[in-house]
Amino acid sequence: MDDYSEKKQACLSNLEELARIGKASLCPAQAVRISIGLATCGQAVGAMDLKERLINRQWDSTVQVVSVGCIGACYAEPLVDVRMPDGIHYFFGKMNSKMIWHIIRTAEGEVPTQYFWAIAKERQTGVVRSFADLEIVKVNLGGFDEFFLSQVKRISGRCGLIDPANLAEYVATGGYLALKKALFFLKPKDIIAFVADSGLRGRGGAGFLAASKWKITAESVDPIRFVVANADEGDPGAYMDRVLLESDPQAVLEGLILTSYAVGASRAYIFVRHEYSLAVSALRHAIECAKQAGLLGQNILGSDFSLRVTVIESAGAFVCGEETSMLQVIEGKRGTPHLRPPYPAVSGLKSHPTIINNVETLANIPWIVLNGAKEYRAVGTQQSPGTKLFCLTGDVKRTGFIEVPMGISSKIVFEKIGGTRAKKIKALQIGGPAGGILKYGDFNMDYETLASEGGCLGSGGLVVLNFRRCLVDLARHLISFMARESCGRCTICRDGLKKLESMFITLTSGKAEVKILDEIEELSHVIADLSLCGLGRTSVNSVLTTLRYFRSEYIEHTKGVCPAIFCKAMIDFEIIQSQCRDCRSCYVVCPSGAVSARSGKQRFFVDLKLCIRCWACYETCPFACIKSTSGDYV
Amino acid sequence: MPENKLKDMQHLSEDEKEIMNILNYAQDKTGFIPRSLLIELAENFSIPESQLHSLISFFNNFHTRPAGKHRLSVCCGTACYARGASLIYDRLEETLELDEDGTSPDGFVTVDRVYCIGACSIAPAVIEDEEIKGKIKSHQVPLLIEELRKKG
Repeated sequence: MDDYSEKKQACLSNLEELARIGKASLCPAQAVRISIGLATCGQAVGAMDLKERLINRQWDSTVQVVSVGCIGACYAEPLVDVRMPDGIHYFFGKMNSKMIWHIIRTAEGEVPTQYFWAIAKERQTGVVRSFADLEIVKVNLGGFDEFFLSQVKRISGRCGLIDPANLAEYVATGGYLALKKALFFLKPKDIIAFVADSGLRGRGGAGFLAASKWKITAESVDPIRFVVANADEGDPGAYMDRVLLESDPQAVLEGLILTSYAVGASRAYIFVRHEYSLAVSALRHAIECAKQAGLLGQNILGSDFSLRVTVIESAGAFVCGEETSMLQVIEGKRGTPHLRPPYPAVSGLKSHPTIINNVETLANIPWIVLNGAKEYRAVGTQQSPGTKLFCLTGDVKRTGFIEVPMGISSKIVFEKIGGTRAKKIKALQIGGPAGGILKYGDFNMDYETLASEGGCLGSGGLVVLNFRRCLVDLARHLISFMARESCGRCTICRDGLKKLESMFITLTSGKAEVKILDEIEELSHVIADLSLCGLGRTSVNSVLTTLRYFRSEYIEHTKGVCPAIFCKAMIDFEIIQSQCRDCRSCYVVCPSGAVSARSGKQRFFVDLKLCIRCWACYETCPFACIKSTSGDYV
Repeated sequence: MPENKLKDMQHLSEDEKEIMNILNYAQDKTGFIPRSLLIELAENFSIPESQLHSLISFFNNFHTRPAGKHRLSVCCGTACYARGASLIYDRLEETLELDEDGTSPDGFVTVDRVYCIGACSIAPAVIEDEEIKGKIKSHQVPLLIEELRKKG
């Protein structure tokens, strides 16, 4: 026992030391801190180059340049936050190497008057635990006030503020306090009771109560139990797991440790997509740091609880999000789903009780343990308490990942946060390819409301579609995706989806008759009813919802007209002669030689026989004089 | 190629020696998973080789034939698709005359479709080897290939 208490003392004083170091680097009293958003979204638009320039500069004043994750405003990347020693933050969005001087001048003490996006003040100077500790005092560009004010940043509060590779900064922002509380003051069943009271629902898609499966596993007679973190985020249009893992990996890890402690597991796995290379390396680094600090491994923080965490990389299979499939792959077998019951909570990995939780669910656990169930229920609805991360993408002004209370109105999400006018939104795809495509309207964003609309909340991907997006073609694309991802176990899913895909191809190539709509609908229902796993059952949601809300578009397609002017077989291009200035750009860019020239003025025209409908001329014409038509639609 | 491929992976940590992680490592390193590795793995983990074949054929990212020198992945997630990813893929397919594996006849580049890389804010996105490029338009495809050729 003495050894334990000695280790406990060492670990705890180590944590205090870490918190001190972290605080000094987060809010330096003497130096300027420049944080650059270096998550995937930042790196893709050249943030790495900015960082190098800033680091290699000979600074006149004391400046620390650190890389942080993503603050959520992906539309503003590369985003740079300059924190002055007096607690004022200057945000610079859409930075490039030409505008870097504004950052440099600001860091050297000049007060910027233009080019900055927003100014935020620390509510209490020197205290930054979450984004909520910052108060936006002035907005110049980019609409940060509209983007952030409706959000409730709980689990994503640290994202974009702390250095994800620095354990000290995580500890300084209240990290691992929940673990300390749990290990020394709470019993495993207390944690389960906390989570049960909070009403936390699994964020992976189905929305089951997290605590109910924990109870089953915790009460099992089998002493060997596993916890698996599901970070195999396959839903196109959803990347909240990636953001969490890249920007705040320790929070996910802490949630995983707490969950393992609650259910009595000593072995945990994190199943993550290999494509998320930055997230994988951030996670591995986080595990290494946590091990060294005594937060993972044998006798965590000197208690008698031990945990080993292994990262397993997936290699791109949508069906792996289905829990029975994922367990198969972790065991090194082909990932065909199993019939449930038995549920994994009873018999999962290697036939031992296994808890599988989504990364976002896990990130909620430390917050609940630290703040209690009552506080957790302060936002959200009775049925779906707490906050939810959404990824706002597609035809929307401000793309990014946001955290809002469950049950928030769609108007706030899309019009206020997203900044898009209602009349420009044709449809919404909610919850990935297995979710539905809904008509835009005023509804509440929670599990029940969306299910009644025929969609599902899923993991929280929100793709906004404007009037130029053909929903029939989108449904075809999603069905092709599902057909490709079908594991092949159930005949109806494997062959039915292929058949459905070919019916859609006939439809989008303009060779179908009206009766095909009924056939599509019937086959879709059969696939939904007869498939074994969630993939098959939900694979046709996009078809059923588009048929329900946008049937007229399908009917137009049977007449050979695409109202969105997208389907290649149904569109024509034409040069508006009265606007053409003979600049030749369409002629040069056309890959198939379809833009031909007569002699004289206004000589260019599109030869529709040669045209391959690649849109190159349309995209390059500087005077917008290329007209695309489909039937009467222009 | 060295005989004993698992020896190459001695430096991997204990946790990284899971079957999936080894396969991913090999795929990254050589661009495909050779049968010799499967035979070795099967022996090492005492599992039938057929099980490994069924595992790798299950995943989109594992290839059993060598790929081109460069890799272009067109993201076809919903957000990218809605913003014209299919036009980019069509253009690539046409310009490069890809075979059924998506490799150009000269073995210069392999083009594939991936489903959401989480860069939806810069849709449509293309991954050129390791680098993510966003907001690509289909008429920029020839430029993209030209740049790639300059890299050698």
